[in-house]
Amino acid sequence: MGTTLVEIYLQSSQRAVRLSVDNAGMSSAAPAVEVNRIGKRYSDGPPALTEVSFVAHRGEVTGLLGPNGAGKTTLIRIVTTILAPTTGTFDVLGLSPRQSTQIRAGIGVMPESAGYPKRKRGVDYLTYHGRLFGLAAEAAQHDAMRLLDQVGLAGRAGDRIGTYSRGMRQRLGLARALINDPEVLFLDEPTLGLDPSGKRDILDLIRQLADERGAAVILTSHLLDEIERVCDRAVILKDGVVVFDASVTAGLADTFLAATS
Amino acid sequence: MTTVAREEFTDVWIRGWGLWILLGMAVTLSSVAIGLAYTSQINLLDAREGLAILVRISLGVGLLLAAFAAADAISGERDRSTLECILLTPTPPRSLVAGKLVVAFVWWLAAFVVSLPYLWAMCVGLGGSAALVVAGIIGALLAVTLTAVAGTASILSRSNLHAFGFVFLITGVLAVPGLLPAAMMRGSIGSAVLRIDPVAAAQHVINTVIVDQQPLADVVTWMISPVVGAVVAVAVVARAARRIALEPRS
Amino acid sequence: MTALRFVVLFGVLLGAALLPAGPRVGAQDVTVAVEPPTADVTIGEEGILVVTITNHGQTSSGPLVAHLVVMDPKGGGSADAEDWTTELNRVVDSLAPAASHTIAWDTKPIMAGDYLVVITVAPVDPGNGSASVSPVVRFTVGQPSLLVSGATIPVSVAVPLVVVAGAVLVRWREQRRVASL
Repeated sequence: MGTTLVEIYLQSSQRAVRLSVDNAGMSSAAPAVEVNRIGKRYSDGPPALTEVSFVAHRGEVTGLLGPNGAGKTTLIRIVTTILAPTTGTFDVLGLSPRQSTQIRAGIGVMPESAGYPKRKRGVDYLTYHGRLFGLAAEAAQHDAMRLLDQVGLAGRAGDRIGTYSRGMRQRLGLARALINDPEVLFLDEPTLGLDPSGKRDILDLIRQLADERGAAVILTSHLLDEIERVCDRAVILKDGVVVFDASVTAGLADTFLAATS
Repeated sequence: MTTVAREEFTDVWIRGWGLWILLGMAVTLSSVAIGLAYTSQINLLDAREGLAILVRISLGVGLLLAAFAAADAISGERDRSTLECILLTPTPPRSLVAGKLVVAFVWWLAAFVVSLPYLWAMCVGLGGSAALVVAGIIGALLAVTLTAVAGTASILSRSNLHAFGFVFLITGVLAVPGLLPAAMMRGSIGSAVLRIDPVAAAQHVINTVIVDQQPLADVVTWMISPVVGAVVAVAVVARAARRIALEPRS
Repeated sequence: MTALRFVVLFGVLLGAALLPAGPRVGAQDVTVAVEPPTADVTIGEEGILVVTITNHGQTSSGPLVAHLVVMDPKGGGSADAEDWTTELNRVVDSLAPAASHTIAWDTKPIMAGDYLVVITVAPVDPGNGSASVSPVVRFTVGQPSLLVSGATIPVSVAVPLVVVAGAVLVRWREQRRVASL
């Protein structure tokens, strides 16, 4: 595929840094997610996003990186149709924002700040969300049990979510994101609160989803080693602007620090 | 809407505290019914006025339960950070709101069903069951109105505190005209306020049909504001439901 | 002679002062009619007396006050009219000759029995005449229909029990469902 040079100006340091953007390995098929110059401005304050563009392909894991306040969650909320962009457009699975219902039917989302109803039991929570995605009651419960087993919560299926640890709720959130067998997954800090073995299991599962199911996965994380381990591509945001968008290579940490300093 | 309604109903009445709250209401009604019927001093109270008191208690409790359940519908999900996951499903926002408000209305219905035996027992001594019909019609209209108003507040409020506060305010404002001295409300303005306010109009209907034993047909014009209130409130919440946002616009 | 004239003059003046100032509205000039002539109510039930005061005199009556009197012939005295109405007295503006005024008087007796009710009307200014009295209204006040029906106690006990039974049953079924997961 070749290599193209892209000049990315780091505004904070006011110097041009030439970074190589490696297009090797990018699929020639239509992207699962295509974000085109998305901008978002809230009523007060500076813009949250400015001219953000990137693509994500099926079978690929794209890492979304950036310091706090970079706009990662805002970007995910826009692409998952929770928020409307101020400018720009996007496509998910070839669907435009006007087809938000169809978009939501085909994606799975694990928000970072999601809460869970404490009095509900884990299996009932998942079953309910399965039914909200249109599954029949029996099928929804069956899928709920299967997913709980997959994320290591089979033994706690009948317990109230209020008794779950932080890590268990993370696993439950991941199971919820998978309940509709999505083609695109958006995972906002999926390993937050997990112990090392739990993190390993989740990351392996994420990789498996991309490789075996062919899902497009977009995940955010503060942990560079996670991104290096599981992601094919990395998009770095700083102050709402994309400052890096390329294949993950060795030395990502240095690249991140350079891009966000 | 069916999925949401079924889940909310199960959460309240099967897995939750709904029936226990209803038990508290039943015990209260039992105490009031026995007190009205047997305490010799209270026997000086006209029988029909006693029946009207019981009707007001059963309606009032049911309406408050429904209103606060509706006020929690969306703003409660926001407070608990569970709204985002629900909005990420293909379920249309209107279906979500409709399902939740139907279950909120069920609070009034359950309270009314529980109070029916008491009202019937009291009507036996007085002859006629006009009280049951009046309580049912008036109660249903007011329940629809308050549920829809509280649901709208829930959609537009940043938090449950705001939504509950608004419900307190609106029920207070609606209840005040009916509680003011009759002398104050005799003028043309007072009379108009009593007719326009659905709660005050309902009070008048209860007094006229149950206490004064006038036929329901005589108070048909007083039913206009409860009917109009219900229609308008439902239209407003249906419109607001189209624009549920993770954070309401300030 | 001078002393005699003084005495006669004083007597004439005294007599003139004692004579009425002019023609007065007497008891026969203001009549009080009341409907209905009999009333059959129960305790707490409202009875409305329609009182019509008419001035048959040649001059205005001056302000009048109407007063409700309730008598209990078997009780040996008068019943407390304040238990029957909050307005014992009703003031009527001066009535022109041949004019009438009608009062709808709300009463709500609180004790059973047979009573005699009259309305007395007197001029506010005592110098303007004497009182008039309406015909007697015979009030029969019966016991109220009681809220105590045979069903009150059974319902008051049964309904909470039914609700408790329902709550326990639902809870038990939920526990079974969870155990089967």
